[in-house]
Amino acid sequence: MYKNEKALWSEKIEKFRGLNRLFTVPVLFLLLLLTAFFLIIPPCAQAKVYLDIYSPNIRKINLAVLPPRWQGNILPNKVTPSLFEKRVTHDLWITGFFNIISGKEIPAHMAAAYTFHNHIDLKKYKAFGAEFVLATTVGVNQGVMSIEYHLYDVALSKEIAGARIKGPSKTSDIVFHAFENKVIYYITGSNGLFDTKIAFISTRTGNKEVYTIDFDGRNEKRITRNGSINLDPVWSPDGTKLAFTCYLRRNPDLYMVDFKRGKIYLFSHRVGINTAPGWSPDGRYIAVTLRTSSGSEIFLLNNHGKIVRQLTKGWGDNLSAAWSPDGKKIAFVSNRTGRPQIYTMNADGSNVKRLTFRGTYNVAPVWSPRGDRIAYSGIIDGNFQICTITLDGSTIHVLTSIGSNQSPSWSPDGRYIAYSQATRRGVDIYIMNFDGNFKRRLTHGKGKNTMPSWSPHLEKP
Amino acid sequence: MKRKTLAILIALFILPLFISVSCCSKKAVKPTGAEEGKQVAAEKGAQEEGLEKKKYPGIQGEFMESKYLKDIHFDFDKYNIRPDAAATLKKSAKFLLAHPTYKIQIEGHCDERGSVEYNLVLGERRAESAKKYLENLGVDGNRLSTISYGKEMPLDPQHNEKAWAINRRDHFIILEK
Repeated sequence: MYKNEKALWSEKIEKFRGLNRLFTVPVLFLLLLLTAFFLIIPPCAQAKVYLDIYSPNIRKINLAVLPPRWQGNILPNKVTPSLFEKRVTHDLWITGFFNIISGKEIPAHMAAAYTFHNHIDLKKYKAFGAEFVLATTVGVNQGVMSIEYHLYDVALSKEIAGARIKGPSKTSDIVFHAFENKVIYYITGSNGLFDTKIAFISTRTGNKEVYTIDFDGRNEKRITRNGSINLDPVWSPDGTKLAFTCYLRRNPDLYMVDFKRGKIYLFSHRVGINTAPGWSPDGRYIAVTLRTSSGSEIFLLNNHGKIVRQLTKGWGDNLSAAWSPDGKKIAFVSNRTGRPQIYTMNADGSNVKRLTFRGTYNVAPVWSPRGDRIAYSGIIDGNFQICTITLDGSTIHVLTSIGSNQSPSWSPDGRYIAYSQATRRGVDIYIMNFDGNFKRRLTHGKGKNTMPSWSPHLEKP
Repeated sequence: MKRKTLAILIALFILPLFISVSCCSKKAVKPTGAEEGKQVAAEKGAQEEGLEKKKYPGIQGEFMESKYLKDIHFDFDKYNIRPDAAATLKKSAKFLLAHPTYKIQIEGHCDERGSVEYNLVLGERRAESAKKYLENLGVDGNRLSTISYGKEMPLDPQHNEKAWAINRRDHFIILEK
């Protein structure tokens, strides 16, 4: 057993840096020794914020990601050192905060100095423009995966963060997420989003079903299998539930996915539409659009689907409630002046104010998690574009320009907006920075992918 | 004039009676199981009334469609009954008054432009407009249910004015005979 493991490990090292097998035995001992030293590493006292991601014109940080040191086996899901490196560089890149200097771009002798002697000469990294260096040691043993990381500030020539994250190697994704979230935390001052998912609707089976996908684009999962028309998935604020509308019973009823109990149940089945749910930030109420004799109106439902009160009344149709993060206000769509526009009101339905005046078709409002603006989709020159508007209505930013862009959904920290983009090439979910920069595609074809809803953080750190 | 319409109405009521009577006689004649005979008769009757059995994938229950219940169409982002739609609805009303047991569902549909949520609201309005119009023509509102499919069930999947005009419609299905 021991022999096998050793052989496997040596093989890894050879593949990894192409070194002679003779060297590997002493290196193995050295690594084991070093691991012992690193078992307890104190976390950095107080993180300095290097990158204010909410400021305009963010300049990307040059981050060198060293190839990992590797101890033990490869992971059960076949994560090898090179795949590990690929994943980490990809995941850090998609945040939009970094220019990644990958292992290939780092001179071989410098990478080898780290791999075999655990030596990093920060001055040498400065020479080719790296501002930060990320070094990792990965251990996989007896079903446990650990990632030990060290983050160095090149200019200050010192380590700014270092820790070791462990977890079952069967669920290595969770270890990856925690590690990557920490790296983002030490650079930007708030956690990364690697433990969040985006729910969406896809037509890949021929009908509209609910799916989820991780922020990093992995782990696509089908949630509904009813063969019906499924619409408008919206996460609960604690991430344990997902509301959506479905036509199974020949009526657009509101259903709930309960992830804790692994069940889907009927939540609101009033005759007519039961659509466009908006959760209150404390998760106690859901504002939904229902039919009345005078048109569609927004109603407040409690956790059991019972009507607490009617929030809007009269003057055309009112729909698509979205709460402010403090729970005091609700944005919604109304066609009381003839065409759909965004309005705001107090959470009890009083103090209704019109917010959008530009354009003739503005829908799908979503309040930013920082509370300072509302994103929506508005028709501009015949196509939907994602816009944000400040709460006084004074400043509008149009964030998209290619194709037709709909259904904005904020990341829980307000750094990003997910949306669907339709062009001649297809319909996919995209993510962009809240200022419209750094757009990247999250889904890749397989039907039309629409109606994204960003989850809160789903894994406990 | 009044007498004439009354005569037509009576004729419309009596005609299906004759059909059902003839069906019943057939059933009596048929020697094999009464159930089977009933079914045959019902199908025959359905054919004569131009009914066609259907089912939507992923939506519970079967329904029927009749060639006498034609789609009506709407202008973009509107739900008022156009003159051409009014003429169609008058014919539909006659059919419905002649078949007082039929339970009808009016489906409001939209073209692909606009958002999913807003089109669901618009589809409700379109279905409700037709319901009100038929009620005004004497059809009992309890026989008429409405549903909005928004832009989820286009008849013509193309992306042009012609397809959009076809897709902005109310469709009528028979849920119960």
